Amino acid sequence: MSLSRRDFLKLGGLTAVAAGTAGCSAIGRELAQGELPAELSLPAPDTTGNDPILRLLNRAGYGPRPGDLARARQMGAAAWLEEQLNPEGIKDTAADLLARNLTLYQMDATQLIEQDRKDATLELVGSTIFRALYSHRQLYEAMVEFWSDHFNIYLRKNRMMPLAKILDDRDVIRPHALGKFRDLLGASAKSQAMLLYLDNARNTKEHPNENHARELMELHTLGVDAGYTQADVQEAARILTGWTIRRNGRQAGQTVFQAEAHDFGEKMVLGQTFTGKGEAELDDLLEMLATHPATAQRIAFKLARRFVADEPPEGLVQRVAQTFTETDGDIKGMLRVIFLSEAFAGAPPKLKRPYTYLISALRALNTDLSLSRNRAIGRWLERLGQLPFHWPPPDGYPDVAPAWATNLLPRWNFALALLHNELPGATPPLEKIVAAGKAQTTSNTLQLFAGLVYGRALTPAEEALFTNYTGSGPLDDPETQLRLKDSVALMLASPAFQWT
Amino acid sequence: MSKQICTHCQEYSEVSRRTFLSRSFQSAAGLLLGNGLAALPAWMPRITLADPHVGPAGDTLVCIFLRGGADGLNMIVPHGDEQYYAHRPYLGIPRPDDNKAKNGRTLDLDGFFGLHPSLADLHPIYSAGDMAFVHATGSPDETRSHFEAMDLMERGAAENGDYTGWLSRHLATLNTGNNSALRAVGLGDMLPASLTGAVSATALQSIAEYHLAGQEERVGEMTALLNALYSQRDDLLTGAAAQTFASIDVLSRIDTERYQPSGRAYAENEFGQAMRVVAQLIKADVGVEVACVDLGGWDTHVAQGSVEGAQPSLMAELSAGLAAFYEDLPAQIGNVTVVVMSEFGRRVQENGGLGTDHGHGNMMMVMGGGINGRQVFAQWPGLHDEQLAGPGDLAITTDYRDVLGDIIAKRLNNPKLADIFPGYVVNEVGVAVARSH
Repeated sequence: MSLSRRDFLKLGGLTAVAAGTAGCSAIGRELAQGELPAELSLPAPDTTGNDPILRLLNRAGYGPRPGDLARARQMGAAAWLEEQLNPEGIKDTAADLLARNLTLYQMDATQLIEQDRKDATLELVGSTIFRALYSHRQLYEAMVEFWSDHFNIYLRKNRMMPLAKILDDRDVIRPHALGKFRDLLGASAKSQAMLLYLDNARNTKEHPNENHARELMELHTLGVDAGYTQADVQEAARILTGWTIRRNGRQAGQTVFQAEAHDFGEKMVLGQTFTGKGEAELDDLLEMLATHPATAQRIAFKLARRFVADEPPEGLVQRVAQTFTETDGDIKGMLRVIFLSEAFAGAPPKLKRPYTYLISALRALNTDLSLSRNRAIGRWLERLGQLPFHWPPPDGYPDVAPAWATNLLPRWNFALALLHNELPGATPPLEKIVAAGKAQTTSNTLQLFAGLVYGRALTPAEEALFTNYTGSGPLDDPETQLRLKDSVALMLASPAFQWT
Repeated sequence: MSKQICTHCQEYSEVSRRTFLSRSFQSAAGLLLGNGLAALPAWMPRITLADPHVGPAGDTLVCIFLRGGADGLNMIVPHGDEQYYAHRPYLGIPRPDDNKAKNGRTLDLDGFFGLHPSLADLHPIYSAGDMAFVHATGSPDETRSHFEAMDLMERGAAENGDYTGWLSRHLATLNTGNNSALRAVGLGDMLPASLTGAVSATALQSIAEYHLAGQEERVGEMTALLNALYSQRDDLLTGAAAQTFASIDVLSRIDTERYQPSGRAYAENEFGQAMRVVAQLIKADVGVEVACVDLGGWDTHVAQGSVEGAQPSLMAELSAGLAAFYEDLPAQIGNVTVVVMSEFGRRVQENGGLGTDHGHGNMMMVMGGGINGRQVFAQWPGLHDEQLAGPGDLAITTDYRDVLGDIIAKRLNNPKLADIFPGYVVNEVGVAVARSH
């Protein structure tokens, strides 16, 4: 099937973002390309095959921009991590300017539900990409992505969803992404987007709907093997009856507990009795779920899988779970344990998910994305298989290599399109990079770009292959230039840039 | 129309068209094993089954998975069971002889079961003897979790443990001498879990676009360079890249531009186009033995629609795609078997949101030239409350492996059912006719 025929969301504009951020790509340009270090040095070879700083920047964010590695090496891993764990202390002009210029993100729920859902999709997806690309709060953005998967919302479930997901992103995920799990869970369970996505907006005493209750237990907290039963799901669904969205009036669009739709009878979930006290029952249920050992285990496992390995070491998972229990689900505390662990220092390769692959490729080459003109990025993300907020089932995009390994061709072709200027609005500043690196020969040029893409010099075997491809013509020879561009694209396409 | 939140009207009927793929974060989907890889990480599935059966390939199997738990009771309607109507006062599909039903009614199949009117395109295929249905079928999974149920069904196992898919094990236990890189294909950007661990499987979105971009005069050199870079390593991507290059090579020989289907045009939706690609691959004779296509959006907890609405429009998409495929392959259909399945059925009693919750037993469809068509295979368990399973679901009287095993043995020439469905003894349901060779 031809992709152009697919029933895409027309990310055909990330343009709505641009509508609100007309100045932003210019700002982005200034901030980003302005940040291209005046001088770029040729990279050193990686003698150990294990560069913990590079791994940190690749996994606790979206990969280094030129200059990032040098700065992080100077700081040291622990200091870099601590800085990232306190994002409010990081000067982040681009992200702040973006936030001020977004239009729908400024609205309250009542205003928002009157807006156009396409605009909402564009602003939501566009600002997410923009932040991943430009924000210095890289770990924070990575955690926003992590929780956006954990509390997955699918934008095409219905027409309200993009609008509701903006509220969810702004009021649920972002405020708590580095906070306490219980707060995040509580906000999510009452989020308009979640109530709509999992059909709780229609869950009433007369007509119970168990979808939200099931996923709350199976995916958001306990996990499917925690020992609960179908009866537990149905009882939890009764607790959730009456939680819906106000349809009209001055508070339209806000979450509301409708007592008349609530089942006030007594319920029993996992052996605990819930007396019919209405609204507060849900908080009691969430408290029970959030403090259940299976939840600590599950969140610990997922974090360790995200940042350390597809099959993380059991010892690490236990330590993270213990931290969860001891700190009342403190997300920063768990991340500290993970990133400072020996398991992370010696972690096996982790395959970049397609979204990270795309963003990290743009970052490596200091590429600006002009959101106002770019119509291609969304289509590429679909082809790669990971357009944000477009995973239909509630379990979030997969996080293990086998799920993504069979779709390499779009990665390769994205890299070629990027280097050959086939992505309008996303042109890597190759000449500036070559100038900053004072590269005079094809060999220097290849090593310079290897430093940006791989964070190290080419190995002798790689160098032989690339040199053979580019030849050693003068840098102003058009054929040599084309072959250098191909070479940089193939560095991005190569396995060393897929794994972190 | 005012843009107020409306949770019960049409706005809810915009059901996902994008595939509802199964990806429990524990499931290892679409894993490729490069031939002869020495050191595999411990988590990688390995198919080590002794002595594959050696023999010619049988039918091409097209496996269509309806993601989200399709409501089979409203697809293959038990119109002869009055309890069906008692449980579904609003969602029930009117009886074939219900003259008061203005918008549509069940199309009778055998006096007891009938087709939803949105599946009307399947009726002529059924009448021609090339389509059959199985009802009250499914997997013994009791979790009613999409992810668990899909995972178990696609792995073809009744319990955790073996992380390979049933189709992968079929391919691994049948040596047909076919070395095609396209022996198994999954349409879309990921392979289904049923192909987890397959030695030779390709995720394919489009034939025409399946090539390395870049200027033509340098593509050969670029391919060689990329191939060399992937060959320098020995990991999961090594085999995946080799597979990709091999598939590019095969697909480059298919002329998609001039392709004209033999029957009706395929619809311009994802499912229609996927079926078109499968048909092209079959006609091009490039060695496809198994093709997997997903159709998502069946998780109809609310506003499911009765004769019209969300689920009916999905059914229309399904039946149009199947009919176009059938008409496109008049010369090949005798060597093709299509099976349609879903992870579970839905609750018999409709819910207050005019939808249905996760259930248990379901229907399956089988289409092809080598089947005992024009029949509905069902040991009907009944829909009285005391006959229902769990919280009020259609009981399962035919294990889904009895259907798949029947097809594998008789149409795919593979007798190794015990390896494909470990721990299960297949009781062939009789829907397939044994191939002549």
